[in-house]
Amino acid sequence: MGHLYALQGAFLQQWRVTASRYQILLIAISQVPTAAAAAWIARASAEQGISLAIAVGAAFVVVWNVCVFRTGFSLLDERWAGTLELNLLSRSPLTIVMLGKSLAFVVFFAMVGLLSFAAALLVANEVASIEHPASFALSLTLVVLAVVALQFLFAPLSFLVGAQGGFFNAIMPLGVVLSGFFYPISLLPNWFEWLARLLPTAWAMEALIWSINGKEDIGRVALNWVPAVGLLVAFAIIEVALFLRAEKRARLSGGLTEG
Amino acid sequence: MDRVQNFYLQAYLSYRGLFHWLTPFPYFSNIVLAPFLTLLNFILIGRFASVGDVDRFGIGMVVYAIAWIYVGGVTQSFSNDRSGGTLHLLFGSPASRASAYFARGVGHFYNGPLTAVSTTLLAVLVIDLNAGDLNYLTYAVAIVVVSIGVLMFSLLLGNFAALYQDWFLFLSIGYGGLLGLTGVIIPVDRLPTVLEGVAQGLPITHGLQALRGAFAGESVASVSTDLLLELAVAGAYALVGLAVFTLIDRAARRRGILAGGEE
Repeated sequence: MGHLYALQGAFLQQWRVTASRYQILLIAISQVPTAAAAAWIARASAEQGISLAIAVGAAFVVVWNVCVFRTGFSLLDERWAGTLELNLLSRSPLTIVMLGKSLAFVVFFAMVGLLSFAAALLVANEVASIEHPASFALSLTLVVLAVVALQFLFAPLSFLVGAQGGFFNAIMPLGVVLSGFFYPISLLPNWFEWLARLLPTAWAMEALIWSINGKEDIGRVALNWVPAVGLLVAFAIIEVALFLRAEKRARLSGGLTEG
Repeated sequence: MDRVQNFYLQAYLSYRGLFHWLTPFPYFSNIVLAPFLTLLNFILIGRFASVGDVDRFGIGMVVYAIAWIYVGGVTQSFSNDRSGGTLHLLFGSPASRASAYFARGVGHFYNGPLTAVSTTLLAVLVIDLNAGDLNYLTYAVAIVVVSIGVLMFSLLLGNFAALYQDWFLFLSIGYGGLLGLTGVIIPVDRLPTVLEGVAQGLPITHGLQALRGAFAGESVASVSTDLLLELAVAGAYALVGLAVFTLIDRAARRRGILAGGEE
């Protein structure tokens, strides 16, 4: 129960720091043009569901691009501000605290991502029907969980590598490409696809796109859910291990406060 | 000679000291990986949507690579000057304002052509961007001209990054505006009339036409109008940027602002 309070507290603290009209403006300016450009390409397509798939993907691109470094930076902010000690003294593991912060980012920027979604639909000028609504709902849930898991992986990494300036600038488009937010990953060059198959987002997004355009039946879509769930569990284990390592490094080096 | 030496020294120090992506992984990441992956992303969107000519998106993203590195690099340099507490030294120095202003961009210049070439090479090697008809001279001239235009635009944005504390806003304006309005993906003539007018005054818009001509095998002479227009836009940004820099400089001297992040 105490861990839940810690989770809730971390969520609220990060939400209050992050949720502002300025952030909405900032992210909209940087991300909506990408969604509009992708949707403009999609509007030239004669195929069913392309525009909707790209609009949904555009919302996830916002969440990924923004959250992948923010969660990690918030951990560094804690260190710079000298409040990391309090987190480490808490009886709740650092993983729980950071998960609360991470969820605050994901929820807030998912709402901002809706702007990209709306802009993409506006540019595409087409709202297609969803061929398999039930599998769409389940795939969408899996994509959300997968995005949370994937971006959360980078929080302890940014702490461990010291978050060098520009470090994440290749990680962001790499995540977009390998996650297949805008297209099924079977379109990727061979070795890119092999890498993409290691990510839960790629399996879940592919299932989501098939649910929209109906190119595969529900049985085939369901076959994608299995590796997506398996990879989600694997990611959770790796993340806990990395956070334990980051926590241990902070304790052993005494580097709880910057400088 | 002193002036040349002073200009060189300012350019070198501001580039080495204020450009924080200059360490190996961030540099490789921003010069090679990020631009290529962004290009790959749009090519694959085109293939998913089964639109015919996806190479046009690839060519657009080659010039967007230039915007990526300049806008990010130059605006952060101005911002780091402020956050590092060294901006007041710049404003306090007796050096020519034009020299101080343009020195902040000179060190970055080679990054533009470098990232454009590496992005083109990777696109040709990995995803078969068609460069069979490429006119190399036109390509080289177009890349240099676009680089000058984007660099001048980035310097102008840098002024505001120094004036306000959050450089991400100006980074976002630069990235978003140049991606959405210059024809990189969406043709300029398909934009609403007002935005089409804005696009004519942005860097890349005209230079990109010249680069598309280079990929179609056209000579420098046949794309010279586009190149001259791109240079004219660059010149306008240089003048406006320098004027803004001078105004900020005067305001800083008069009001004692801009030192170490203080308003």
